[in-house]
Amino acid sequence: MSVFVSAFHSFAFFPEFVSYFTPNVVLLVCFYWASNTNTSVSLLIPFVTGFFLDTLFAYPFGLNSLILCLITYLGMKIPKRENKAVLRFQLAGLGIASILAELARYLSLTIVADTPLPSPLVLVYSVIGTLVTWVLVVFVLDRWLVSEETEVSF
Amino acid sequence: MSAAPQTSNIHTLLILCFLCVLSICLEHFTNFVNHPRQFITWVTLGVQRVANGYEDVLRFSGNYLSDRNELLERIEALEVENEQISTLNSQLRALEVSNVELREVLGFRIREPTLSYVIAELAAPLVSPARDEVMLNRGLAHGIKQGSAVLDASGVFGQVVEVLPYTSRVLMVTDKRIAVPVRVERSGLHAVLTGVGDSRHLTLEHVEVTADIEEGDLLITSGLGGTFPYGYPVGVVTTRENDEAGVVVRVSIEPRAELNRRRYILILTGASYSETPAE
Repeated sequence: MSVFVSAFHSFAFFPEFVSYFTPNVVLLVCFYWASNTNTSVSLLIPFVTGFFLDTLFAYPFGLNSLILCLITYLGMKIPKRENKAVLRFQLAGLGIASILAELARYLSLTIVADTPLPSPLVLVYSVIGTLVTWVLVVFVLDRWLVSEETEVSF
Repeated sequence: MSAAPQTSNIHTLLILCFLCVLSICLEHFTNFVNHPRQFITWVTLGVQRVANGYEDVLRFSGNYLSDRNELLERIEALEVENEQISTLNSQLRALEVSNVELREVLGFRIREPTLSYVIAELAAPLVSPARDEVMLNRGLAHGIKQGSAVLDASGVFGQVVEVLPYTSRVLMVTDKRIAVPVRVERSGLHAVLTGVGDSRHLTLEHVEVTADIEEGDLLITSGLGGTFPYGYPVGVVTTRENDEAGVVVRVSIEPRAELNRRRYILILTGASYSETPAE
């Protein structure tokens, strides 16, 4: 999926405003993994992944780790019904998590890296992008991929 | 889920959160986390190369599959372009000689820089509404220094703000945090150019209404401050409007550098670029 997204992004030339709605893909993966699969997730994985993100995208070292650890933990706590996470709880949880993540990221850039704070609309765009992608992920991945596994599982 | 794993999870979470906050604080107040950051950069460099690999494969396949006529047309176009550049280059040399002579007559001591540069490739764009930055695949190991000017074939691209062993972070000229000393090529007016966080235009700071600047004027680097060498194009004035009070003008500039389309960029590693009057 990562390769598909990356390749699609390099071929498709979208207008600049589309980039404002770019979803937070790593956050989505962690949240999906923690909330929608029945496997136990080690918090060390988002912790290490976050440090890679901080290095790649030049964020304060430890910021993305903190965000991803909290979101993965939140994902594990989403109420489940018959081993399936309830969509409305997922959306509410993810909405709150992504708003807090974007706020933490931009505030840290302002305080630590002296970057001027962008318009609040930018935060809203990013959260909308993440939530819309989440619905797509749930409907596409959950129905096609995970449903086959649940049929054979008990 | 039983109570024991839940307690274990919350303990792990608290420990990891504490480590993250500690790391952020350490980075803010000391240089302690530079080493782990450099190590991770070294590890991620390989991943980045693999990730960019498919683009190279596509480009190579495209070139391989291009038909002969298309290639011949491209060669012909490049030959014409090469001819034009050679002619311009010889004109520039003649101008340079006369320029040196005139400066000598006026009594200016010239400190011509030896422009050394490193060609870098775009490793990752970090463009967002909050910041306009890119990561380049050249760093300390290639002689890059913090503060070096970055140019592309069309004009000023930005400035290096962070240097890691094999990569460097560049603030693009459109970022709100950058300030480039410029002069209007036509009138010689000096000003300070800044980004506005939009890749399509830049602006000039504190320009009075009486200033000699018009739409269509080319802005070049003034060389003041010693970061950007003199004479590189930065942008073209697109609009000039008086503010409500009629004291200063709002000048909008279209950047000359092809900020979102370049893959290879020059990082200058030369020394001083300014000139001073003779004593």
